[in-house]
Amino acid sequence: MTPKFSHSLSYHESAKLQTAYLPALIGAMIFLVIFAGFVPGFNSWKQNSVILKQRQEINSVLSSKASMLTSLDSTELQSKLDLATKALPIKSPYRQTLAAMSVLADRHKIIVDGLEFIKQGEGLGIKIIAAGTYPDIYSFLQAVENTLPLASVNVVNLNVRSAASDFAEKTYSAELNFSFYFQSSPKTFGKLTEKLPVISVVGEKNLRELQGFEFFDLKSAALSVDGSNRATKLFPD
Amino acid sequence: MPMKNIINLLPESAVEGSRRLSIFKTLQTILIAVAMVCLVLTIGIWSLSLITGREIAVANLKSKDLEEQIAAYSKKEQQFYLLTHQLDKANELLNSRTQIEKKLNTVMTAFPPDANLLSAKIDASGQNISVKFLADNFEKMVKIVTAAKTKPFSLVKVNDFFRNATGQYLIDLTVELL
Repeated sequence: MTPKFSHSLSYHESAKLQTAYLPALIGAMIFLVIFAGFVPGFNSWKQNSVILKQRQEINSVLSSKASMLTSLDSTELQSKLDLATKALPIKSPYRQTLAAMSVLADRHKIIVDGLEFIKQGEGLGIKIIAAGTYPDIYSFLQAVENTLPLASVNVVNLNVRSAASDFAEKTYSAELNFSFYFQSSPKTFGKLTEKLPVISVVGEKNLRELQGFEFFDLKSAALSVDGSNRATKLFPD
Repeated sequence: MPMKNIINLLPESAVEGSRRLSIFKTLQTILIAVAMVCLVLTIGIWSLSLITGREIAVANLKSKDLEEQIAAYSKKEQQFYLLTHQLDKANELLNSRTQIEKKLNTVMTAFPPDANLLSAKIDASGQNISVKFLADNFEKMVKIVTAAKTKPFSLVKVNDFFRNATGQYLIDLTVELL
């Protein structure tokens, strides 16, 4: 005869709970923890990490900018800026141009027969009808290219004026077209969070080169080499 | 009676039930472990999030401090921006300038010294130069043309050529500077 086993009702309930409800409950808890706790937490951490990274990058730029600005010598910066704005003024440099023309024409014994301003896109165009010997015209052209504001000679049209046999005495009439450059100041000075621009090695070299260029203002033009008030005569107000 | 024998006496369903119960218990343990890991991870990630949030707050304060420092140097900053702006353009101009007086000097020196130069037209942007000469005799005129065909020149074209009443030769040339 086979022995029979009987189980109480409470044992069945307990077993049922253990085998079916408890895993389901734990599963639900895991689901809840993952979707209500971990996922939002992970998203929040991820978002915060991105914000922190951006902020750290900005801080790094700001920090280098602040230290660079602190290390800049105000006097040196001002003198460099003065030189750069003399080389490339922010306004049309007609006064400085007239002064330069006056002093240089006087210095290189050039007779200015006519002067005309020509509108140009990025510079102040000047056409000069001048007269002088070839060495004087040549040295005048060289001098103009070594003055501030920066200038370039675009056209030289030379015509013989007096037929002297001696080369040094032969005079020419020259139509000379120059461009004196200027550039208006930038519309914005960059964002606060932008890096400061860097002056390149070439820029530093050119700054040193520009120091050797001559600059004339109307005052220096009025007090020309021979002491005469040539600038006032040549270019009356 | 040995235990093995007792189990053997149990009905098949009871043995199966016990085995299932054991599997479910193992599963429960695994589930509880997973749940604990999830809980720990969740607490960890929230803690990290809070720490990062605090770091953001610190970084924001540092940022504000740096901005105030930079604002104190706003004049210097503007001067520096203007300096680099003007200097960039100045560099460009200095590097691209063609020194026209060198071309002029070549014209004045490369032709024979006794050639009577009447006019010369030089453009900075181009390589061509227009020159006009007056020669007393044919030999001088030939010398001028030869010079126009010799380095540093290359003869582009003869624009005009004539002999006037006094026997002088006038020649108008376009030469290219090599």
